[in-house]
Amino acid sequence: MLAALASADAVTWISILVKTLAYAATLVAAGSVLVWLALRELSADGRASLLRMAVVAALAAAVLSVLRVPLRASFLMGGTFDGAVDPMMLGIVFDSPLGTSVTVRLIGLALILAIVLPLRGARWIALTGALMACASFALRGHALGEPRLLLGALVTAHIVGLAFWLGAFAPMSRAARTEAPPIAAALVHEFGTKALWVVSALVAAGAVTLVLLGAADPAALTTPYGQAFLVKLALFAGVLGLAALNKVRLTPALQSAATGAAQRLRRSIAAESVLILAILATTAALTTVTSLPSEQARVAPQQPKTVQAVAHASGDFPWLS
Amino acid sequence: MKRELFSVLSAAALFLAADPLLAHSDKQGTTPVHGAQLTETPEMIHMVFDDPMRITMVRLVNADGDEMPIERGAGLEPSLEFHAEPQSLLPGSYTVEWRGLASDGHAMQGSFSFELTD
Repeated sequence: MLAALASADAVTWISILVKTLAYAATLVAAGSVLVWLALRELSADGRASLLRMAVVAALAAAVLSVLRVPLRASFLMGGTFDGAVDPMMLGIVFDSPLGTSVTVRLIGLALILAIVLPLRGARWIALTGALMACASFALRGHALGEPRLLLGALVTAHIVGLAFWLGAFAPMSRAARTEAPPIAAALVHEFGTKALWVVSALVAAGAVTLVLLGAADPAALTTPYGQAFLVKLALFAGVLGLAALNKVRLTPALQSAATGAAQRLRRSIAAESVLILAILATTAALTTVTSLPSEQARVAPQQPKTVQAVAHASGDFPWLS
Repeated sequence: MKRELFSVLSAAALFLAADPLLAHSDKQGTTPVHGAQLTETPEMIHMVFDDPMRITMVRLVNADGDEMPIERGAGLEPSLEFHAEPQSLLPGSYTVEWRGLASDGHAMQGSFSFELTD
């Protein structure tokens, strides 16, 4: 992958950046709604702040997601500006799974904005939007394999869990900074308890996905993809380590109002955020320079007849995508 | 603690399972094959895919990066095969660069090279 990145053109780099930010903004927008609904220990100020976060993230996600269409068209035409504005190429991209995914995501993001409306059912409209935004990740790549419905449900469930996780970072960090230690500690403790259930609920999904995709092939780790995957795995191990630190050490310290506990927790959350952003960026890079057939061809024996096996059981599944 | 350990291991498994690229098992063979040494201009540049691919851009460049004229034998429709016909080439190194859209929405790119000798 490094070789492909080294030779990547400007449009490819911009695509990776935009894709990373679109992933992050969409997950934060959806996650803010989920956290707003799920965490009872949020203070009134915390709730108001979270609503603003949801709106800003949803608007940013919409712009970034739309931008991906002309960027994809440009990439397909060799990284030219002409490609980005070519009606035929834009049409091809819009008709592709990316176009479907972006459309569903935009509808979901629009529904998320309903969370600020003074309507009785606004929260449920926003929840529907959050779920649609998460489901948009399942409309390409992995989830297009068979059994499609099951894979789509697994991918969506996974993204919902991830969104909840990411969505909680800002309110927890804010609480640690501005709220009294007992209030902040109650929020962080509630998140820790529910996050554990969220991760546990994903166990079955992960196991079934693993089996369905047959992805646990050690031989894959010898490929550029596999090596890049190991980088992601190392980053993810760091995230889990910090999450464990938060739960086992920092939350009890905050509960006992230990000196500097809030600051340590905020630093840990910031580090977690950076690691997850790095994971998203790595994923965006992997799924953007999916070029690697040629790279692998150079280390693999050539077929006498031309064959390119592009196993499309994969996709823009950010996170772990 | 056991439950936490279980969750951590499960999350790691999920991470492994959800990685899209692990599921890729890309191989490429082309005509000419990558690294081929030819004594005359290939009659055809040919690629075969195991899943329909919409080739959106293909070009043949020499060692200086100059683009050589080729005639596409296929349109933009998704296809398992792509072929193009190059015009007569002088001795030297050439690279075929292509980009395309896979049926699952992935944008793909690739390249392969060959050398033409006297």
